[in-house]
Amino acid sequence: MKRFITALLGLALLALVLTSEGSAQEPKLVAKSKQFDATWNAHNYDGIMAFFADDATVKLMPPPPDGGVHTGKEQVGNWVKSLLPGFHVDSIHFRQEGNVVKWLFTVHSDFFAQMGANPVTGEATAVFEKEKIKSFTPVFDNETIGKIVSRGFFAAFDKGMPLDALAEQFLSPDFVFRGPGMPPMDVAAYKQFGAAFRAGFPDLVHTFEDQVADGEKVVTRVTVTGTNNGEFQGMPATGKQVKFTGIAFDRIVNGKIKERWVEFDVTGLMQQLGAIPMPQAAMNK
Amino acid sequence: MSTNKTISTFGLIAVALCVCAGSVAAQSEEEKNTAAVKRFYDEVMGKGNMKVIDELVADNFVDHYVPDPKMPGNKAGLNQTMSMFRTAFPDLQMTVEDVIAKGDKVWAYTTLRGTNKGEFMGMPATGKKVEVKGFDIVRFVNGKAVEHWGLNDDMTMMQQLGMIPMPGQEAMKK
Repeated sequence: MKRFITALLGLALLALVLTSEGSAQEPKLVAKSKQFDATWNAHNYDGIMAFFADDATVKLMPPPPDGGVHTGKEQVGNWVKSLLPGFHVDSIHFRQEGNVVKWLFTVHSDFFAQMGANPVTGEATAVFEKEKIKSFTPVFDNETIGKIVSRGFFAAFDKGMPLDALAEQFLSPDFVFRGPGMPPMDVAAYKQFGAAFRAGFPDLVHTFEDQVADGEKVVTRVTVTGTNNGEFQGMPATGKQVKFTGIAFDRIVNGKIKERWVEFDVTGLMQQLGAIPMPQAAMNK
Repeated sequence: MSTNKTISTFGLIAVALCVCAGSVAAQSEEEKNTAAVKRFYDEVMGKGNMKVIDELVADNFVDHYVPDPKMPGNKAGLNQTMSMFRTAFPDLQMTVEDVIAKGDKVWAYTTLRGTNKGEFMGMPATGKKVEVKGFDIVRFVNGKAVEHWGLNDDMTMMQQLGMIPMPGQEAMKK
């Protein structure tokens, strides 16, 4: 048994040796890319900017709603500034081919924390020209994208994004929604469902409590709060405040929500609205 | 011959032991936590073996989701809740539809099935079958559950039990 474990350890060590980079003959641009990340970690804005060529382009992939393309020192500078608060990067597996360096990153930043996707992970590609970075493309991995998309949907809903635009940006055309005690809904039916909640609770807010991603699956737990200031499901406004838990199980494919299975505390919601009796009252019947 | 047999048997056991040790060593904390959640579903909920709760749940357990608000959100409350469900649905079965384990938490998406043969939430048995989806999120420390969040589709359950006074239900169903 001991021998077996020793063998396992040996294998693990071998794997480590195989994956570690021989720093002795490290390619020049790999060394430069490592300095680049170290400069980010030092929060040295001028230092970071010195790595970029004057006409450098940063292209975020997959593209965020604003397009994610920043060209020239001013735009790149603004992008750097937006990320610096709370920034830390861990980078591994640098490799160089010609004037291109690729590596894997894990980035912590307040910017991503606000989106609830802290840390983000993915692969960076830097194309060098005369030892300056001419283009820089971070490609976020699927789990990171999934978390951002799931949250982004609720955040955009709360901000009042028109439902057509919301569906266009976040839902795939063959989207299916399943909710508690309801038949499955397609995009059109889900928009009606969203419209019903917006009408009933104009100040509705989803507060993010917890989130996990695994492959294309993302599960998000939220607390929903709002005031029943409009007609809801055929019932007149009560003016009552409600607070209930929701859990959304999403499948994200190509950056869009393909399937969403939601549980939310319908009973709690109806009780808070006074539409069905509280448990005690039901029991006394 | 018999010595040979003994040796080969011994060898087999040794190999088996090594394989076991290897798989135990390879089983991550996340896998162990997932196994604990499944064991809870099978043993406690599926068989009513309440003693298993002690093995799987820490004494300082906090439950953020208690189906019956009269029950306390702690280990004692969990015991009562499970007993209540077993009384109401003696053939209770939990099926894991999907599970994600990351860090110290397990996220399980489940189907609960059972026949309402006993009193449930103060209401007499209906004899009706239920089949409802739910989520459990369980946080573990040292292999024991310390926190739980969750949600069951109790709206569907009450519809299936025919228990709900339902104003607005027609609109909901639309």
